[in-house]
Amino acid sequence: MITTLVSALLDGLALSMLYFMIASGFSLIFGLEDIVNFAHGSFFMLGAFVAYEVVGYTGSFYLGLFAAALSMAILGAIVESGLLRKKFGDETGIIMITLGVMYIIHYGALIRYGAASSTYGSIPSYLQGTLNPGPFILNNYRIFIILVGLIIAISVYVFLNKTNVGMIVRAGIDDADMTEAMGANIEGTFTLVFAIGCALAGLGGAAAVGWVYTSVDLGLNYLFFAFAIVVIGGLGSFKGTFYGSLLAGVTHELFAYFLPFLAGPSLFLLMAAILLLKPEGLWGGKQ
Amino acid sequence: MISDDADYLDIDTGSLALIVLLFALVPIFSYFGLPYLDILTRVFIIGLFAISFDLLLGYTGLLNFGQTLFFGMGAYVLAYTLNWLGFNFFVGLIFSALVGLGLGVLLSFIIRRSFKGIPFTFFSLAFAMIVLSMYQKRLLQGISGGEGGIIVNLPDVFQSIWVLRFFEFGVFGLLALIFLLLLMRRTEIESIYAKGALLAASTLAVAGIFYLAASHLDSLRSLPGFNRIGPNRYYLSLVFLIGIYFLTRRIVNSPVGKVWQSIRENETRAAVIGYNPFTYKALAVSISGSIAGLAGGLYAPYLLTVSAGNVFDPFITIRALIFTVLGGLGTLRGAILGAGIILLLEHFLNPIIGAWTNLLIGVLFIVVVFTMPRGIVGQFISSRGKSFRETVRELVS
Repeated sequence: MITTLVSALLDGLALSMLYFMIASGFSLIFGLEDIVNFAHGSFFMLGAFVAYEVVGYTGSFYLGLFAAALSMAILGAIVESGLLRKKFGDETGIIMITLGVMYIIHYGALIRYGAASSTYGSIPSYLQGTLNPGPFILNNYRIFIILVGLIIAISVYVFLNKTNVGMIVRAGIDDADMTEAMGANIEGTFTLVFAIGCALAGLGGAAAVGWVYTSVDLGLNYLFFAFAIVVIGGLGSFKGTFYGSLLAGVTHELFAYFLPFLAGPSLFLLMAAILLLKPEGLWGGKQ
Repeated sequence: MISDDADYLDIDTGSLALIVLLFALVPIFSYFGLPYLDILTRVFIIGLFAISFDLLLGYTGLLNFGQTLFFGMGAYVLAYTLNWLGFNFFVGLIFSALVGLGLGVLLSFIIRRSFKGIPFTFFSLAFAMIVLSMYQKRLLQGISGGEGGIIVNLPDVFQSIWVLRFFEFGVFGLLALIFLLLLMRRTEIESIYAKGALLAASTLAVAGIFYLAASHLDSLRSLPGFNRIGPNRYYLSLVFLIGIYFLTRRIVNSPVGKVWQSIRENETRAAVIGYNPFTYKALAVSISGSIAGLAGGLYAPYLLTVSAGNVFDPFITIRALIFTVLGGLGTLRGAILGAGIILLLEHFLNPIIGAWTNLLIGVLFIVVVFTMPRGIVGQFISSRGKSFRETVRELVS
């Protein structure tokens, strides 16, 4: 019982970190630019495939992670500055463009990969297998995901709270027009944040491959997970996204271990309950 | 801004009737081996679903991301009615629509406290995803049919020769009658083009009756490979599409529709004037839900197997959103047009360039968003003030 619980908690934390990597970028972009980025799940999915390909070609796991994050950052910057920027102020138009980008990535991935679902051919040996302290069985790769997620969370936190650019981002979330009036380069910040958000999604996808495998379905699934988590944590709140991810991931895995019937809908049940009882989210701030 | 000019008065009746006539003729041509029946049937059904989507998003400003809940339940309910209860197809369709209506009412009452914008969108998504994942459970395999789904008993209606005859003669006769009546009564039609179109249409319709009567239909029907299911299904879907289209157009131009549009533009103002926003939004969600349920009911015998994967798929909603925006949000006609353009593009280009078609459609969609913000219908055909931009602005604010 207790060993199962520990495994469930470990899996839950690992899943939380995957959730966090997709939801944090989604939430930041929404908070700063008021963009509901429907393509965000697609960046996650594309990152997974990029990492899968790169690891396949080079055999280097870390290069795969890096390539996924970098390529998604570049793609995100292109989408933001090439398409979205021309439609600022037209929220519906922006939703439609992100929807179109999602549509293109979804069907593009289908052409290349179809229904195939696969994982890395080679990952470092210390990420394989399990740790066995006493009666517990801890999967190494999931511990690795937790570490990556925590590093990302701390880095983003430091970036937002301790750097000048982060200050502009926070000010922009509060009031973008006023921040621009104060002389900050808000357009550049928008692109940067969009690229960072997409890079986080790509990295999340790359990390997910070793556990949940690649598939085109990742795109829509993780987009919906991101929706659920920002609802749970509170739209546009970084702290809320982190705690929301933890709550969602752990809940899902606890259900998966002890009450599998409810594991699938658990996240959506949580989301529905919070929309009904506390629409501003559990850690929602000013909204 | 609420548009006052009623859409149903300024529409070019002649050209619309001509379009309908052309579609009514398709099955006749299909006897000679033109294989468009199935794809057009699909366009009609999905077009109906897109109408339900447009009714809610384009007129009331509510983006229901879980619209497939109504659609999927409609399809399942039809399968249940035919397979388990053994009822008539039309009774099944009524049940499908009623289930959509009921779910719409339920959804409205559950979400009544934050019934707008993003919360509604996300809640409707959660609602649909909960039902979807329940239907994918092994525990519920008995009612969901599991991975393979439920095989729908083909309704007798589709195999009936009398239904086919009814449509073949009835559609033509009715059309001829309507055209001639219009031509005689609406003498105020100035345009020689419209008059000519009406005259041509009625002549064609009458000629169609004579053609059908004169030719040996039964011998045509006994041609190898032909069956009655395709044409019957086609006619039924077409009739429902036309009926629902005119019904919804009537609704959106009625006082209720005006209130919906005023809620879309400014909910507080509508409330201050004295309209209860909740009642009207619940009405919109429920009507839209019943249309989506009906579309699902029509889709079940088209698919022949109903499974959670192919009727609850959230991608169906996303595609409906793309159809509606491409055709023109808040135009109703645009929803059908968008569904037609994309489904036909897929149908004809897929054999040539394969899955690249969808990539092309995605690019086309983005180009349309940039160049025609009001969609195709909004840009070229209609001059009404249906602002695509303002419609869902509330969503994110």
